Amino acid sequence: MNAPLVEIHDLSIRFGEHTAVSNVSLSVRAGTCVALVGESGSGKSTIARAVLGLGDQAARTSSTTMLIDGVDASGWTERDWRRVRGRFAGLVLQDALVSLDPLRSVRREVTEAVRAGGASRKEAPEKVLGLLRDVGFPDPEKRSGQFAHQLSGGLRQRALIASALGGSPRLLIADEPTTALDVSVQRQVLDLLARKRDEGLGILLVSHDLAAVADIADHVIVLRGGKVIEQGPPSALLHSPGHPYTRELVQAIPRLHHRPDRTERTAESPAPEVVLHAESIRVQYRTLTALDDVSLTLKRGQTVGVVGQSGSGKSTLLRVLLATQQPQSGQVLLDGQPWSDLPEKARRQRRRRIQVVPQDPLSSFDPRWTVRQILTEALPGKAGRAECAQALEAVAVPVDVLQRRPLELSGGQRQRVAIARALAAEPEVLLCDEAVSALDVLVQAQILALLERIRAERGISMVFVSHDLAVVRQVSDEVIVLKDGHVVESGTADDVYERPQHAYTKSLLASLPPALSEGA
Amino acid sequence: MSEIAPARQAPRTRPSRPTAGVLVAGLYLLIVLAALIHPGLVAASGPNDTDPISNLLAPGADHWFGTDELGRDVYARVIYGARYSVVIAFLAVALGLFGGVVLGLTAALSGRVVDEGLSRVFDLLSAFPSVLMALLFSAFFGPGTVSLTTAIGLALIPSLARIIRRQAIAIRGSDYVLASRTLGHRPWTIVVRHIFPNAVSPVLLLATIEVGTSILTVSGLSFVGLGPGKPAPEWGSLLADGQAVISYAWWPTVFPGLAIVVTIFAITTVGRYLQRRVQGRHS
Repeated sequence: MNAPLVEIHDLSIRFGEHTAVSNVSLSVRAGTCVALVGESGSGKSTIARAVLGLGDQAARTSSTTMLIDGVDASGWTERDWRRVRGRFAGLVLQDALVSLDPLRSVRREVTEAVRAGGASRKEAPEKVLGLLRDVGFPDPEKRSGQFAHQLSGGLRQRALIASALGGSPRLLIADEPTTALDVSVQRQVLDLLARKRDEGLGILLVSHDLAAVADIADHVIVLRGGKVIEQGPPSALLHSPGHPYTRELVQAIPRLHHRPDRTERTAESPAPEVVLHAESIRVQYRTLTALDDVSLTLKRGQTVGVVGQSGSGKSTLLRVLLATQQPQSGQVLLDGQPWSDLPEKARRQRRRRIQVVPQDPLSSFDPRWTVRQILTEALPGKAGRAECAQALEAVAVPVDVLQRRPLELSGGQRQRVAIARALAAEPEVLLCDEAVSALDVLVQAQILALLERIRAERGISMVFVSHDLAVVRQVSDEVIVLKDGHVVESGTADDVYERPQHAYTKSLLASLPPALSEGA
Repeated sequence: MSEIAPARQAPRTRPSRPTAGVLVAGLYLLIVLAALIHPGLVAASGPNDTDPISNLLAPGADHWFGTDELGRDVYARVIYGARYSVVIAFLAVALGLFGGVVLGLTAALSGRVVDEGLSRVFDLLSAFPSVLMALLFSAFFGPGTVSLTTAIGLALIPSLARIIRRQAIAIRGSDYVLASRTLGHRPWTIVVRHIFPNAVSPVLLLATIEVGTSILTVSGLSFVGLGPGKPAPEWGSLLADGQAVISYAWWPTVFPGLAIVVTIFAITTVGRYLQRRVQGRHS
């Protein structure tokens, strides 16, 4: 009765000499969710697109079996595939802002999908409203006239799911549908997908986030370099991973209630001195209060985590600490001396004491420069090749990278070079701005380990800003929870995470995938 | 094994290798360059060697482009004319570029008052077409090479300055300038190291294409008598001279015309190619 919606055996996809996918088999049944998990370049998206007959024109695809809705799809032309797309299988992509047409309202976007699915002009409007209501789009009668840029990330993703469901498909292919979203919004989108699955939709979910996927998937396929490493039910993979790579992946997931053994804190000095102190910072943009009465104290060799969703004021706080933005009231002290109140000229000589590790290292490098030029600019005095090599060594990057441009490096290497540049200034404080958010989970674990080593070895203090609660938990001694520019909760990491006082903190923690909360 | 989606077309190749067209255009520009540096190398006779007996000869083995009504070799005049048309266009663009860089960077990096003021000046300047500008300068300083160059150069300033201003503002707010600031570098150092090179390099390529367009402006203006004046063989004034005899001799008009068209075409082709290459490297 429940025949697979998609059944593929031994799928291989090659781009010229390069094999992107080799011998992958999968099948998705109605009312189940199959997840493809892997780091970037593992071939997961390529497979998902092949199921819709979408592929790079240079790709050569082959398989022994390719059944779409029980029909042999090998040898299908573009026209045959087009009949399937939308009506039988809908596609949801990661970035809803790019996937939605900026010149069309949500209503038009969904109407097009509904009409393509065979609804008549008359019945379409009612169906569109029904769909939008179904995916939890608030007040669809009024708000469906809005455009993509007027919506929040969560609402965009809902609109996109609604239009993917427009043709009443039986299969939904979702490619990283929650990656760009805040935790609580991510939770809502996953819940929506789980509900659609329970209503009988088959889902093929693509993600790099094993923890998020484990929550709703019935079957997880772990991919690496285009090959299936391991597969099975999510609980089995999480608790008893068979393959070393899966084990590595599982271990790299930052846990909420488990902290890696931290290098001994600076125990010899009983009361570490205060390095950076922000006092009742207030920042106002016209009518919007970005920060209101925010204080932060950073002691030597310690890490303060700042948690909050987008728009909570995290970035503004960082700019104030860095003194690239003046607060309306309150002040920042560095080593007990004025910092935010100094004139820029006086501050300039001391700027090297505070360095930034950026979210997107690539844009923080001059595009014309090689790694060596980047490091030379940061190192004190007239630094030669030897000093640059030494700086790279400290962050475990091979020396031959010196002559390359950042564009030619991997994401992890770029972040390491950015850290090397920050360290070259011999700072007392590192401000990490979503420093690992854009990285795959394994690379993320490596960079976190590197930062931890630097903190322990050099006694550098850090402010670690992130929307990722689990990561902040891992690195922080103290945590500040920001919401709409206010500190809703602050305290030691243990207190905030184990005994949250404020309702908002509790709701944030509750929206995390359960896999993160389990002790290891 | 069954093939599902066969390759329909080869993946797009990056424009890293020059096409035959670009090579031909480049070769042509080399000849133009030779004509600029040492016209005697490319043309046997001088541009003003008159020979009344053999006037208005049709193109042939002795005179490739024929002769005009004074018996001057049209080929030699076209070759020597490059010294006027191309050099004036080049100098005008250099002037425009210099002014554009200085004013664009000043607008971007000074305060709001300076920026607003300069932006209005750009608006004002761009309201004057280069023809009007040239007329103005000719009226004040008399027609000639200097007036022509200055007029075309000034007319180029606003558009180049606006591009540079926009680039510089974007770069000033970039993460790498922030990184440089947090390293304690002085604003002037940051301008020289990051803002100037990154704002100007894309405009340099645009400027090469601008040279082509300016050749047209130079020729047009000297066609109406605002150029270097007779007997200078500027391409536009060659066209004007040929006009008188065009009903029975086509060559004194057609060959200078071709020189203008082909040179502009070649500069644009090579310029666009260089632009694609540089963009390919950065994205």
